[in-house]
Amino acid sequence: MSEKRTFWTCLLALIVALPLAFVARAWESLGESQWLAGGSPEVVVADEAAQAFAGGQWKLMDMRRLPRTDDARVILTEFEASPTDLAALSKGACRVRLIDDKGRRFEPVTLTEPIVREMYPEVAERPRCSVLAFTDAKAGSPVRMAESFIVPAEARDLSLRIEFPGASDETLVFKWTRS
Amino acid sequence: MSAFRTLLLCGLAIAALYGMRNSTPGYGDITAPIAIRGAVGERVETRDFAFGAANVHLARQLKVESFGRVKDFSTSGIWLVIEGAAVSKTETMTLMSAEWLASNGVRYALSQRFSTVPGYLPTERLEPGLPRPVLLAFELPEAAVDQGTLLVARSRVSPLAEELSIALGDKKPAEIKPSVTIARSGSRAPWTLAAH
Repeated sequence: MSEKRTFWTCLLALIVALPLAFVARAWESLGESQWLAGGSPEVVVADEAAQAFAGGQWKLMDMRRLPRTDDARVILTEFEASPTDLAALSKGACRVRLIDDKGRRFEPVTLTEPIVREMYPEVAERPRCSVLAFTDAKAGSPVRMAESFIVPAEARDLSLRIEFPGASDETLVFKWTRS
Repeated sequence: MSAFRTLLLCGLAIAALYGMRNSTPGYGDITAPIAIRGAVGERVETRDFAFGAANVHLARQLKVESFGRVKDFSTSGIWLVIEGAAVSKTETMTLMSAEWLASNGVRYALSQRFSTVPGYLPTERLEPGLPRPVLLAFELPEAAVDQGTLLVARSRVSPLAEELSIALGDKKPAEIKPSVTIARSGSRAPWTLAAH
């Protein structure tokens, strides 16, 4: 092989090897990046339909809009899960969020809002979505839970997203079409 | 001649390597927050949140009034108190990082002595689309105020995250008040601020 040919072969090999080395080095990070991972698959359910998810049959019972201030509202959501696989439910960690038509993500409030306690005291006493809610649960008997959110008054087309990492790789999305 | 050329090439290579070694940014530099610049009195926006610093106060002593009790906070420097507003744009969040960057490069963290003051930035939960009035207080040497910059971010440890860099510019208060009292309020802003 001539010296010239060796030179060009090595240069071409370098052009291929350098990007390969970069990809190999960054493979793990690239896999973790959101735009490549694409997020977890969603199971979209409308209104009060029941859906099998994370070892239970889940159902969104109600979503109420309560007054708070001129520009904010409290959204009180009630949902239930009838355990079909208690072991799976006790393994996961429940994460609930509310999404509006602009894609804004609202976390549930930690302390019960006074308006909820005043208007729906029985709902205010319900457990929040966590492993603790299923501690004394029996297979087939529904566990009713409630979460409240604070949203701007103009927030529309709300949907409740439930994730149960550890028990399911999917995300359960309840779209609320009634208002 | 050939030996001289080889020696020259080696020298050049060493010089190039030395230059590269000294000019290569460290891990901290390449993952540093991305600065979004603004000024006091302006709304400054990142992709995830917006923040505006409205009023700046300087005081030798701070008093915090809470449930009928007044607590004094003295300092060997001065207090820099900033009233502003923050709003999340995408998701529920808390702005956990606020620092004062002095003109000599020294960074001062937000004072940890006011965790119970209403509206204090790291204790305020921001819901998307709902602006909240927020309060910040820094304990600084007097010389650190001039030409300083307020840095606000979601977290101190998010590589390549956006960070607001709000210059004080000519908005430095003309005088340092002997004392400023922060009290709870039931109005839109959860506090009132009175200088003495």
